[in-house]
Amino acid sequence: MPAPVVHIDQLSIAFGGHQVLRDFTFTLNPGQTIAVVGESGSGKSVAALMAMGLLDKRAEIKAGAAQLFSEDLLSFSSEKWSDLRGNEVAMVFQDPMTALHPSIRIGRQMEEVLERHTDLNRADREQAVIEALREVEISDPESSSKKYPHEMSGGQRQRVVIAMAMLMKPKLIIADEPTTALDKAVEGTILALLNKLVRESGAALWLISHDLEVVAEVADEVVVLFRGETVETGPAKQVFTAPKHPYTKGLLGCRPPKEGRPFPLPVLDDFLNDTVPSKQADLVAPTAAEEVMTITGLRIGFERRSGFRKTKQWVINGIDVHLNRGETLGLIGPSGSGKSSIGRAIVGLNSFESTAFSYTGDASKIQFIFQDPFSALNGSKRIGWMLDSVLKRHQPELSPLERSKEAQALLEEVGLTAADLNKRPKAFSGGQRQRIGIARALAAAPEVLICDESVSALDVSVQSQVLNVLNGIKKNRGLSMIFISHDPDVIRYMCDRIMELNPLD
Amino acid sequence: MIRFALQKLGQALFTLWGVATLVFFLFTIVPGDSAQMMLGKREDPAALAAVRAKYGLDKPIAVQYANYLKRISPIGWPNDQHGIFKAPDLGESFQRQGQQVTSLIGQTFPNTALLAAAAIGFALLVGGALGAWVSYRPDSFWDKALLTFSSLGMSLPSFFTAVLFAWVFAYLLGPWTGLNLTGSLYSVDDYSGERYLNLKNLILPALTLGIRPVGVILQLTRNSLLQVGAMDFIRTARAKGLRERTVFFRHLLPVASNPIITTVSGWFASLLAGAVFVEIIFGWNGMGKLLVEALNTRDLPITMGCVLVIAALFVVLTTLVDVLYAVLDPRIRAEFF
Repeated sequence: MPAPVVHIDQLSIAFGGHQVLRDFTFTLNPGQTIAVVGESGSGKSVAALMAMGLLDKRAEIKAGAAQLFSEDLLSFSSEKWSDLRGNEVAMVFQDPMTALHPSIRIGRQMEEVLERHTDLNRADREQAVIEALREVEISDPESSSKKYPHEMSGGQRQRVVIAMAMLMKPKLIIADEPTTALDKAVEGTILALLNKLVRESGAALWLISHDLEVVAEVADEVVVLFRGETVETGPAKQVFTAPKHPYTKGLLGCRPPKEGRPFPLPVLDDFLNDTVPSKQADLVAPTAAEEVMTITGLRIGFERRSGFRKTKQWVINGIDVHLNRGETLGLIGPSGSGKSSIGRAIVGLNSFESTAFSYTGDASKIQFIFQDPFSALNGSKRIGWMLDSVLKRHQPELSPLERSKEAQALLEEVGLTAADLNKRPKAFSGGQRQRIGIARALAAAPEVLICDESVSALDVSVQSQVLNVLNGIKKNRGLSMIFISHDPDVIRYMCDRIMELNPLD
Repeated sequence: MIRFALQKLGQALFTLWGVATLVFFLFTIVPGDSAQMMLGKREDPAALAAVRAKYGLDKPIAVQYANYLKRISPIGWPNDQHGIFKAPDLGESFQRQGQQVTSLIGQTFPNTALLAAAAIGFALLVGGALGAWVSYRPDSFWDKALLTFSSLGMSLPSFFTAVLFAWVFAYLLGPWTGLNLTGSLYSVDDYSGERYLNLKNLILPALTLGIRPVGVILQLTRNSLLQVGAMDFIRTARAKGLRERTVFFRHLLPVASNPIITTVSGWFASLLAGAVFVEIIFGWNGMGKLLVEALNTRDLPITMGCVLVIAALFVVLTTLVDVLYAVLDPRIRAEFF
């Protein structure tokens, strides 16, 4: 039995007095792939960053021991770390759009690794870079190495990040959510590629993910973390198919199912308290087709400047969109397909052209729910003020007292309480903020809700709660909804009718 | 890249023409008769007419405008004896009879440029280095101390620091520092009457002018470095095992320097326009002093000339900075191809 690559024993890490990881024990052997799974705040990235020596200075190791290649890594000097990183241990990051330097050619960025860790001359380095790009199946590696990151797609960039990590044939590769930021269609191929390269090189892979389903394919073992504590470990297949801990069950059970549209979806608390409801009634599409909105010949384009000339590049070129009362229309497609542009055009955030646009109500009755709950709310305003200002604008007939009652009712409708009116966004979690965003949209008494990737930034367990809120208000208020997402499962579950969009070239 | 530079050049020329036109019309409609101003207090209709005829002031405004453009243009008119390029002619001073404005500006501008460059150079070196140093120690004692001091430095007006510095370093500490209370770049020897270079006279005015940009650059550098330093690609650079020196100079600084370039170039341009207070207090023979004196004596050609030179400098500097952005960031370049 060879010595383990990483061995962590009873490790506890805290940030400013707040424990983020408790009694974490973990052993990774050569050639093995272990996935650490958990939601945000579970501490899953903290241990990995520590094993790269990249942990934030403010983090305190409270207890425990950690070894890298059988040496006590907590005592490594920064010089030693610098020699190891990129060489013996390498990392693949989550977001390929931001993980590469924006103004250095990718070939040059990769060469830096070789410059630092080998004595190769320039020609040999360039050759090795091209070879590595070929390994990750980048077409025309010679010319690709001269590109800047912004000239490549997300999937290509992630291949570059993987190639860069593999350059020195490291013994340990840490991949932190390597496919989360990618389109669903690209996700599988990137993970398979990473898995293949790691297996070929005999390295150990430490995979970090929030999605048990995705990692179950490639990992040998899985460690499930919940609020800093290890709740379940075991062979990947077994944990995925027969989870033991309620949290693991919840993680799998909160996802929209592959078939059927039960409402409400079970939420995490149902699993933790063992109150998972049995068979629920399915959501059904409205039977009567009463049109609320019709757009024909919709065209959306962006101006591109090239020198003094301006050309229009179309992302949507002549499609028809119509929406019935009480219906949820799904828009799905990869990035660049223009699905978000349609939603933004309808509320007037994008300019567009159309041969005909008819909408039965007035424009203020179309409301928008944004993707990122953290940037969509003004951090300096209280929730009550936000709702009140919308009510004042859209329901001017209400008296101040009626408005405050209405604001309270809105918060209760989305599952928050009257006490939350006096708080600012900082006091809320991502899922709660998204509910506030929904309440704000509802304050305009809308007829149509446009949800643009409104649950994409949320953890699985929170996502199901927000989906339930959306379906609940839709049912109670008889709203129509345009639901935009890149996630096929969510779209299938939520929508009565689906439009699939593909990027135009 | 060449196309980008050419496009920027075209924009710059257009802006310059606009500025020249604006300056012309502002100064022609300004109350007061230029011809009368040239004559001073004399009431002599014949002399007035002669001056009008000499300077073309009796011609229609369109002709005056054309003549003006012809005079100030650095490119010669066709059929002109000057050739393709010529020195712009900014006219003759009203008050300093017979002196060409171009030569007056030519005498004072290098002094101002040297002073501005020394002040900004000092600010960039000190502010940049300290800013970078504390960006590696956020929220430490030194970080807080330097932030406090730089805020203090930023809030000191230069006419106050000028007097303070002159008093402390040249008067109180004068015997030790050997610095003069006032003095320009060239001094005239009392006995032989020879002009000689006196570089130490640069120190106090440059420090005075540099003290505020030091504070601004320090805070800007620190904040920009911290902001960029938290970005994913910097973590990637560290994850590659690169030494901190490489991470800083190759990955962090080029991206973080964008706001610093903007501020420094803007500040530099406004210093080139003349640091009036400092030049007057230290008796520095610069363009700011020239401009203020011209304004006091209603010497229109000098005022116009200075305004044109200052505007041209701003345009040239911002154009250079725009090109520099494109050199540093391929994404800006990409927008133009």
